[in-house]
Amino acid sequence: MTHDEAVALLGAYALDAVPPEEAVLVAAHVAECPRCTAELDAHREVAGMLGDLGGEAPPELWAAIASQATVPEGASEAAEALGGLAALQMVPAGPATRRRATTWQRAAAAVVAVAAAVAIVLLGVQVSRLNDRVSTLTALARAHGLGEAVQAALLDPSAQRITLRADGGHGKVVAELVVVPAAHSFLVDSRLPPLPRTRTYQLWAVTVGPPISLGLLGSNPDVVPFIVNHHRTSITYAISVEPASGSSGPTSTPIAAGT
Amino acid sequence: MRIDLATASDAALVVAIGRFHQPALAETYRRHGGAVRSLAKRVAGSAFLADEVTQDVFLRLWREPEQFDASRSGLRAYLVTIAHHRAVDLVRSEASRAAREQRQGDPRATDASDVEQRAFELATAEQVRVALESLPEGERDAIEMAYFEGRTYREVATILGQPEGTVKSRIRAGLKRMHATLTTESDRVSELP
Repeated sequence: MTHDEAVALLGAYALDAVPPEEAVLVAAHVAECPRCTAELDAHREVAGMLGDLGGEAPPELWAAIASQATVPEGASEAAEALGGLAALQMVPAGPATRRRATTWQRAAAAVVAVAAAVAIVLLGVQVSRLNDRVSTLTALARAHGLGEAVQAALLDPSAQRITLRADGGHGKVVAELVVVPAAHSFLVDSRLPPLPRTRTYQLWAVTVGPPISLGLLGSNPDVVPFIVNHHRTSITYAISVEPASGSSGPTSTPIAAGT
Repeated sequence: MRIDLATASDAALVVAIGRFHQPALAETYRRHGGAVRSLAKRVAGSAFLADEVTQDVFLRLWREPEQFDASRSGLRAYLVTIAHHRAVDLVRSEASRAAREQRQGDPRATDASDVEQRAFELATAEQVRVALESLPEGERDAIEMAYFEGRTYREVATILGQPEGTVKSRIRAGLKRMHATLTTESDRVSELP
């Protein structure tokens, strides 16, 4: 399909009004053509407005959706064990991971004595896929409306401000967390130095079991959202440097910690 | 002031959905489910199919929230776009097409005033309604039939008795005209104190 042929079809294509055999050709051209991509986005913007007919969402339909909106196998048990979503990025920990976890717990204990026991269930959630998903969405949130959400978190009376310090929690301040139970929490005021693109900072919650990933912070963190969906206060937060794809368990000693 | 789902931005909801937080999906459905279902019902022509489309749309968001690109559209526009695409797929299937034609009898889309009336009844946004109304009749008819009736440009051309090239051009020109109008309107609104 030539550029002119594709251009002529862009309006109809945006309205889903191009037959499938032609739509495939238009899509292939658009994927290679920035001008057509820009025009199609504009057409779709109009189509989106045209299709916004308003109306109330029927409550009875939600039950059908909710029954099918399940979490990946194993993740629900993890969420239940931790009381929230923080456990969704857990993966089975083999002996090596457990050894690292033990080291980590000692490092964390230097910051604060971990008191509460949380039954942590290690489950087969695919960490890399979830981390990709969360990282993409983190970028989205950063670009849209994050400032407003951070402000709300900072003003929330139930919010905890957690200062993360280097050198096992005794060194200089490198970042601050605003933790709002069961809502969006944020890494703010990051002074973490940029990492090579092959590495990322990763945030962990440390209680009595292996550290639990709260998400990737990226190689040069600014403001990053995460969720700690529980109300326990005896948690140590720690940051480590990990491979860019993230790790199921920390592979290095924490560079910062705090509670 | 407490941040909660009811006050969270759409982007924050999608982030939470990315972490499999079902209440965030529920809030997204509460906000946008009505618009999704209304369009699905308009295009698919039945409550049953509209429910099917609506479920598909929100389950897709649940399973693939990363497909939403906030740099290209708002969440509602994104959901509505998916709903339209899915509804069109359904109505173009052989069986539902036959049922739809039987239900509707002769294609009432040939009656421009009727199409216009239905579109206007359903298009709740005043700016969009005005922008659509301001289009030349040929452009408006082509867009309404293609979008709200889920017809291909070729079908529209046949029904209106016009060359396919003319219909393609009119749809494209109409959308461009609406975009220009709506963008200007949007700028004007945003400039208000």
